Amino acid sequence: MRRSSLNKFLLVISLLLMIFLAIPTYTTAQSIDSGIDNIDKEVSDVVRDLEYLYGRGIDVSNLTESLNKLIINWSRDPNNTYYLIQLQKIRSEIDSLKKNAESIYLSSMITRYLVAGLILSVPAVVYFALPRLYLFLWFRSRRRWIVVERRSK
Amino acid sequence: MILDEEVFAVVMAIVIIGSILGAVIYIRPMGSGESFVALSILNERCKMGEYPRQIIENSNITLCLSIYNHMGKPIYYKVVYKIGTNTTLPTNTTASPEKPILSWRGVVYDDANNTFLINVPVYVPGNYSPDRIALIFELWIYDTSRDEWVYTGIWNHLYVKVIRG
Repeated sequence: MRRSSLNKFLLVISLLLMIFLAIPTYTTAQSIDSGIDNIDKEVSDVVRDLEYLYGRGIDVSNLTESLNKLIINWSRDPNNTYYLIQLQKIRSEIDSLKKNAESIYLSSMITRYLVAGLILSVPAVVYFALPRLYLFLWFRSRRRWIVVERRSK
Repeated sequence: MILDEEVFAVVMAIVIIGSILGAVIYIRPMGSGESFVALSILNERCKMGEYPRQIIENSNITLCLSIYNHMGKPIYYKVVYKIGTNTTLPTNTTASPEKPILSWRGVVYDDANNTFLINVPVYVPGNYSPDRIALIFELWIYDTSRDEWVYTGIWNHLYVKVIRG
């Protein structure tokens, strides 16, 4: 009788131990998964902004590199809140760029079309300037020539 | 006219064609042309070739991954590592049905590449033959407009023989 109660006690203790051991493992696994999902959630907004800024002709290569390093380190330690603070710093840089994005885009577009206009006007310049330049060079290269009347035989 | 008219016409034709081409190339929007991404598996010295062919089961091997972006914008990517066989390889449209084991995330700028070393475990899943195990690496891109990961159809695999200890 005493032995069976001891067995029951041991069984209950071992069951409780198993439950206690299982809970932290499960929680850790869950938190790692949710942590990486959380990275995606946090990073996706920043990537969207980077795409927008790049589309507006702004060089965001340094910000992209910083974000890449951040993601690599964050993936190794998804629950570390330090990376959230670092991400916030990148976000604030992006926000300051976004404020001027439209004016930068407009000025770059104006510059681009002006340069394209200049390139397209080259044929007109060549049409008028080339014969004149050729004539100028032709006469210049012959300026020491002496015109002599040809004697008839 | 001192300048020959035919010569002048040819010069003008060349200048007109050149200027039109130049203007079109100059005002061409960024990211136009074919957009693509590429994934390469390299050896532990980050060079092509000399890949490990025989690996002891449950050991780790070092490889190098290289991701090149030509999508016309920065991309957020992940490379997913799976172990399978020739029957469970990914296709151009579908990812491998095997369980993901590891993944590596990063952001890469347009016309740039990320190259980094990785350390992957190798084992024989299920009842697969250890003589020809495929180490599968799939490239996924985060679609910011749909807020989800999208399989690019780009993958690489490395066949290895797993030696059971």
